Amino acid sequence: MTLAHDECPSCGLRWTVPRTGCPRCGAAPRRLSASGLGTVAAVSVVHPASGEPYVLVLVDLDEGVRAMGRARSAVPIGTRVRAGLEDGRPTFAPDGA
Amino acid sequence: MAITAHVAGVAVTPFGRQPGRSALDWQAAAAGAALADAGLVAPEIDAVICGYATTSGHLMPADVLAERIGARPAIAHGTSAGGATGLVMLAQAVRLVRAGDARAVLVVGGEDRASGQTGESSTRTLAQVGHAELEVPLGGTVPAYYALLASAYLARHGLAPADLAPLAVALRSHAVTTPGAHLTTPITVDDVLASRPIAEPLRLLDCCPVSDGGAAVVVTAAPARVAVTGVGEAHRHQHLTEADLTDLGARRAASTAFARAGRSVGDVDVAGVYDSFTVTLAMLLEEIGFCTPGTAGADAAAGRFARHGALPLDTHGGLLSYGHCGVGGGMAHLVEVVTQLRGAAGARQVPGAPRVGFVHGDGGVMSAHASAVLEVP
Ligand SMILES: [Zn+2]
Repeated sequence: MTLAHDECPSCGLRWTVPRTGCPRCGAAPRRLSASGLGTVAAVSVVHPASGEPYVLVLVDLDEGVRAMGRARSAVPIGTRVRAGLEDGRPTFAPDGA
Repeated sequence: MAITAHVAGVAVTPFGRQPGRSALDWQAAAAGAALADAGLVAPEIDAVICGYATTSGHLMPADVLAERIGARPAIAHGTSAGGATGLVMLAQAVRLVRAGDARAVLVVGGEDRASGQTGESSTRTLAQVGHAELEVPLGGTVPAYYALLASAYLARHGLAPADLAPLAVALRSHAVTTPGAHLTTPITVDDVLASRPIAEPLRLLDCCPVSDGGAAVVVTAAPARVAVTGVGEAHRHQHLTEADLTDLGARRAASTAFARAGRSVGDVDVAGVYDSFTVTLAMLLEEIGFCTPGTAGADAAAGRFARHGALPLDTHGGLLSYGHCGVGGGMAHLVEVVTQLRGAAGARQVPGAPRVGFVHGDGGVMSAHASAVLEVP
């Protein structure tokens, strides 16, 4: 799957969460699609009060923005991953796996 | 001549699971005690600033509190900046006093956060600091967001969870002798590592408890023993996804406060730094400049943050052990630093008559930052 992100047409800054203006220069951003390929920057196995544990990750996408997602397993930081869609959520798995 | 703001009154209630009082009850209890400490009565207050309470969600927390305690201030408003709320309110009170718009400002936080809602409800409410579309639906919770920060922190510095645990141990050792603390059983690094996982790498004892309680301070133009010589804030992002881990805002807030005071980190005799999780404390201490990056846990293990250490820190036990009732939890650090500067901390008094104090609060996921420098002139 692809992941949306913003780019500033004026200064080139990119970011993930929708904004109405660039935080560096103030210009109106345009919405782009990222490939869904990236590198794991942070990972946590979350143990909720009720229900099964699940894995959250922050991934630095190749387009230079950071995205949060689920992961199928506790992938180590630095792992190359690709985003898929599982249960309606972006879910990362090692690229090529 | 410039007006200097002073902290004339402080109060913190016991923290813990203490059912039977509402958020407003806790706020009123803390407010009354802080006014008594300042030697003032409520009608003498000309501004009331009160933090939000997740259990009440009142539209007008300062007005309802003012009515309850018998104040009729010229200025009153609520404030919401997550865990930074207490120090954001202090900063606002200081600005009102410096500007000459108020002479006595009451700043209050209090909540029945432990007994006024279920644990799951509390987790769900607090998780909303995450992004409603991009983070919360993934199962984002506050411990999970900080756990992600912790994983990146440990990887960046080549550390293991055992390297953060000494911070929890140090703060618990403070709470053991603090009247009113929520958690007072001494713990070891092994206890932290053996506690159940909450959001790995964070375990139960890396996380603060949820408490009931309140805290309040009175900021005045009239001289008092402790002056607020500098305040500063920074608000760089809301959501973890947008956080710049090299510039979260803590250093900016602290630098503003230090510059105004004409002080630097090396001048600080006693500190109160926000500690919702062990990693929160480590990252704040390191970004502000109290510790070399990656070494906050090692500093704790070496006794640097003990009452007799080089940098007495969170000497009441912090959020990790005194407890966390929401806004009042972040204000307890301020109350403790003022109490230490007054030389009134009794058995937990820091030796050597501390003269320069520093406090810092963090809201959201390292999102909102507020700092203050307090001094005995
Ligand atoms: Zn721009």
